[in-house]
Amino acid sequence: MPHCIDPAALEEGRLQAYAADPTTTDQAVEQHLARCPACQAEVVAMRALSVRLSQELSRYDCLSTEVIIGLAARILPRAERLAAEAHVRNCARCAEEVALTTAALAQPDPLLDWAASTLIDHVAAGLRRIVAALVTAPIPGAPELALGVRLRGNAASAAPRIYHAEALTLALRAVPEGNQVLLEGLLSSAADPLPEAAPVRLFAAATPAPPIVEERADGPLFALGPVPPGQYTLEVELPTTVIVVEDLAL
Amino acid sequence: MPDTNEPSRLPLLAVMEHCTAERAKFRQGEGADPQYCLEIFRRALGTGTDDEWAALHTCFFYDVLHWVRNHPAWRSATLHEPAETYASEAIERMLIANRNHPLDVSSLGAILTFLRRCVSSVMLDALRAQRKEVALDQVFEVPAPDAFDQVIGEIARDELWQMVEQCVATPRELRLAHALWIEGYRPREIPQVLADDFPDVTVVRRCIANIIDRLRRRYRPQSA
Repeated sequence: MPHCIDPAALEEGRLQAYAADPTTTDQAVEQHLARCPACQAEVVAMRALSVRLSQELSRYDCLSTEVIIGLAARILPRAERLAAEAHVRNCARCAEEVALTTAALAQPDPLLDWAASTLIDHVAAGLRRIVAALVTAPIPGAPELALGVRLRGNAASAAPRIYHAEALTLALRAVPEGNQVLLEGLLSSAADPLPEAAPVRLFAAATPAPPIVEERADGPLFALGPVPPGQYTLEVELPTTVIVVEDLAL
Repeated sequence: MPDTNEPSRLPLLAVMEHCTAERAKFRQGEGADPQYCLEIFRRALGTGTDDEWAALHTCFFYDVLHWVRNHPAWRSATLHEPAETYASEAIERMLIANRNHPLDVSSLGAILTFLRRCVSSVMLDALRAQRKEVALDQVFEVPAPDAFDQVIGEIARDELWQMVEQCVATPRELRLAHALWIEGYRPREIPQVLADDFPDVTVVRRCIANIIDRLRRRYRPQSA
């Protein structure tokens, strides 16, 4: 194995630092390299190893593009979403891709809203439509107590309104945000488990137009808006039913 | 008496004509029926004959192309292929997804939203493939495979990353190794993505050199 022709030519670590970055220039190192085959071999070997590591490890533990898109579209099940978010916090490249995809999916396109699901579509699709009933008195075990803890816990906002639809209980609260209102909700079921990301939609009351705002519930919780104060219809789509809250004043 | 304009009863060409007409009405803000457009998807994703796929392309290719050209990845990177290639690939990806798990074609909004996600999927894959390419100046520096190279070639990626993990001295170096070899950032980009750890590129170079040096010492094959 050849040895450096002039070990005192460069201070310790300078050659290696040069080798570590193929885009760097260092006149003293380059002058030495021109004369020293051993150091040339050292630089080439270091850079070759780095290139090989990049080739082998590229995106090795990164999120798949499907997960990136699911995260940006907010359609991942809760457990998968939490794991993906944890990765994104430590991976600038995935964070960059989530940002790109979020921006792409947020671009408005009226065509996508042309046939957004409506009450009529759901009925046609065979989903059972249940109109939720407002209950005036708090029900023991209903989610209004949890609502104060799990939602924002803002005592200044309106008290939760509790709706029942068969085995389902829906707690809703309107939270003022400037001149608008954010609708926060908590869904619980005494029968079937709730889906991970149930679509929830808010429609202007009594119009067949596409929803004003649509989100997916995060487990039992959801937030819609903010929207201008007014009369609305809320839909929560479950696997076999659509829970409808009519004449919802926000 | 059966409805003669019922989309499922019409010949393909008539469905396409209705689809085009309804889209024109929709663009002008008039009341328009999306059922004909939906029927195009139903047929392409259902029986999926060549004619039905051609109909889908004819009616929706330019929407997909518009999504490609307005995708942030298209606008921020110089990708190798023309936008039309990515648009075709996105439609193809929807077909594959439908084969694996039949898509819900009950709502035009839902199926178009899915198709737009296919565009994002194609664009991200293109971006990743481009970033993985080795710069020409680095290609010429790669020597013929040696014994160490053979070691790397024979072990699984998770083992290789474990080797790297064992050769870093601090969490900061581990973040550097991840950003460099997994995420594919260049050394001079590191101070931007790991600003708290590495405000200066000279420290980045020194740390990389240290990690590579430890790797070579620790895992150099005995015969080398």
